[in-house]
Amino acid sequence: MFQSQLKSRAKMKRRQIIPGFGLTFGLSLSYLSLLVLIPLSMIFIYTSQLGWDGFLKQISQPLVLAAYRLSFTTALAASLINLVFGTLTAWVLVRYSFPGRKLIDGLLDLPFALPTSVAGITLATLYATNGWIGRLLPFKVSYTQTGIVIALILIGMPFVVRIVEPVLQNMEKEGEEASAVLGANRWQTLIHIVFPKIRAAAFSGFALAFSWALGEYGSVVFIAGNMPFKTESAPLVIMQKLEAFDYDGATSVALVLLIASFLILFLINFSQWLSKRKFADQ
Amino acid sequence: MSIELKNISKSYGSCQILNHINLTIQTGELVALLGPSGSGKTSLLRVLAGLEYADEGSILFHGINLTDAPIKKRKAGFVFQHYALFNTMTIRENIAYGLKVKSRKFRPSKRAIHEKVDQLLHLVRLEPYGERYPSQLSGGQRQRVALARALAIEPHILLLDEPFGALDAKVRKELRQWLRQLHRQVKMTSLLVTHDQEEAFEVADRIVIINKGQIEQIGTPSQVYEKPVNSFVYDFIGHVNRVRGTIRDGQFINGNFKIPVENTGSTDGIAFIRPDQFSIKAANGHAANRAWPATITHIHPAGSVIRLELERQDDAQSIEVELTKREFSQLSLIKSQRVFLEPKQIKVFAADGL
Repeated sequence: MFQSQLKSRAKMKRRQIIPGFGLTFGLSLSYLSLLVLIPLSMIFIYTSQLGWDGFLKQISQPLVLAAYRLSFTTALAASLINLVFGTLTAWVLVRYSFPGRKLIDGLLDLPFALPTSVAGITLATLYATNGWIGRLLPFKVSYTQTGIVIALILIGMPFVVRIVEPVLQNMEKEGEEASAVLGANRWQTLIHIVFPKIRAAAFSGFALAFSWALGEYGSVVFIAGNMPFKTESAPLVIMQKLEAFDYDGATSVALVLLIASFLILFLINFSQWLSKRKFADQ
Repeated sequence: MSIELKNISKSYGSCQILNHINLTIQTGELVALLGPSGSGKTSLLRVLAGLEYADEGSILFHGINLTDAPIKKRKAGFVFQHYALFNTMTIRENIAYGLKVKSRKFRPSKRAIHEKVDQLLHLVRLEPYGERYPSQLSGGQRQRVALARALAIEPHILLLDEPFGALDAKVRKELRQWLRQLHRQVKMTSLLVTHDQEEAFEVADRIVIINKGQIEQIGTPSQVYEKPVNSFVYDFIGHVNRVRGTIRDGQFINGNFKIPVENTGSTDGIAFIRPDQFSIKAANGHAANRAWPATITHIHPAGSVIRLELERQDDAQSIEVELTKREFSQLSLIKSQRVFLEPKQIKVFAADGL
């Protein structure tokens, strides 16, 4: 016990080669605390004043539950679609060269750069029943869950592509060649060699897109129509509760979203750690 | 299974990688493709494996034309320089991969695969490592796994692309001997690409010297070493001293030094002399026109041969000489001593293109 204490102290005291650790560490820690840790913990503290019962009562209101269900299902649908098409897009961008490749690659960042309200208005106009695309479709898109999913697909698109792309770029061609020489066909190579290598990256992209979609407000608000129980998502409920000065309700709803984000982040890191521990080259 | 390459050519854009390669490899032979980097040796191997296609020419495996056959049909075991093991699979899974991806009709039973993997693990002496992942093995072990994996599909031929290039000198030497031994056991037609002449000489039955996409010489190691057909091979194989001069009236002339040669006509020439083809004489009296006066600038006494560096007095060219320990002690040479250097064997090539 005593010895281990001594050891850990020796570790702290060890000379640093790069100077300025104390100063930079202190600065970034206080910066992080001010902007992230304190505001986030405020939600916990504020909600904890309600007590379990109060909290459960807040989040079990039918309106809130419907909003959660809507948010989670639309976010899941959108990020699953993004997972498939994002991986495909990354593959096309990395593996083939064709005219306009750079342009498409650049355009992919647009959903990040675009103000979400602009995206929302654009989609709402396009997919309205008399809009350019909405007119052609046999089913209604705007003011439905389909509309929300489309908006979420748009804003979450870059995640999977941007995370899978570098992994594909760094992937040695030799692995696939080895597989081919050993007699595997294209599909077998894809399933046994390529997918296991991009699985972790694709999963992180998916999880990030999911948690991003879960809290998306700007683009959803225009296309959703915000009908209670039908197209009102969780962030919208928070907004409405705030407008009605119902801070207890707003923070309770927010806390659940916050915990969901934490869980997702934890899952991403855990899965990456798992795959690194097993396969990574030391 | 014999391999026959006929007139293979390949180019990338304007760059000719392979230029009309003709080569026959007999069943059970181990042939080394030796050449400097960028000579096209790896491209040739990849064309053979089906990883790339030749623009022209044909490839015959045991008389059957497989020029345009897909990779699978060729049944070639390929060993990559950087192992190319599947990191997400254990060693056992790596070795079994080629068997597992076979179509159901040809796939052995699970038990048969397991037994086959056991055999191969034994063959490459890695029995205790079957359940590990490639990242947990050393470079030498990984390359042995790669070899076992290539052998699992019972290939007709074995292609090795600089298999020991990424390993350190000691492991490389061990693996070379092991590969030689393995080849004696399985007697598989094998083609080894290397830029390391020592490796080629130690392992191969025959050596193919390749340069700029062309074959310069094919022969046994001793043929290639003793009788290089042209100045490139002379230069590339072993250490060699090059002396520039002119060829005139059937003689190679460099300063006062004259030696009769077969070449006729008058042109610039280069004489090649191996370091062990010199006799050193004490510098008393006059230098004959068969020897160069030189000064010893350095003596490397380590090893089974003594290496000397000398500087010619007439034009300050540096010359490398190797003596046996006995010769060296008989002569009792010291640094800065002046001696006469007489080449015992000399080969002169016309200097066109050099």
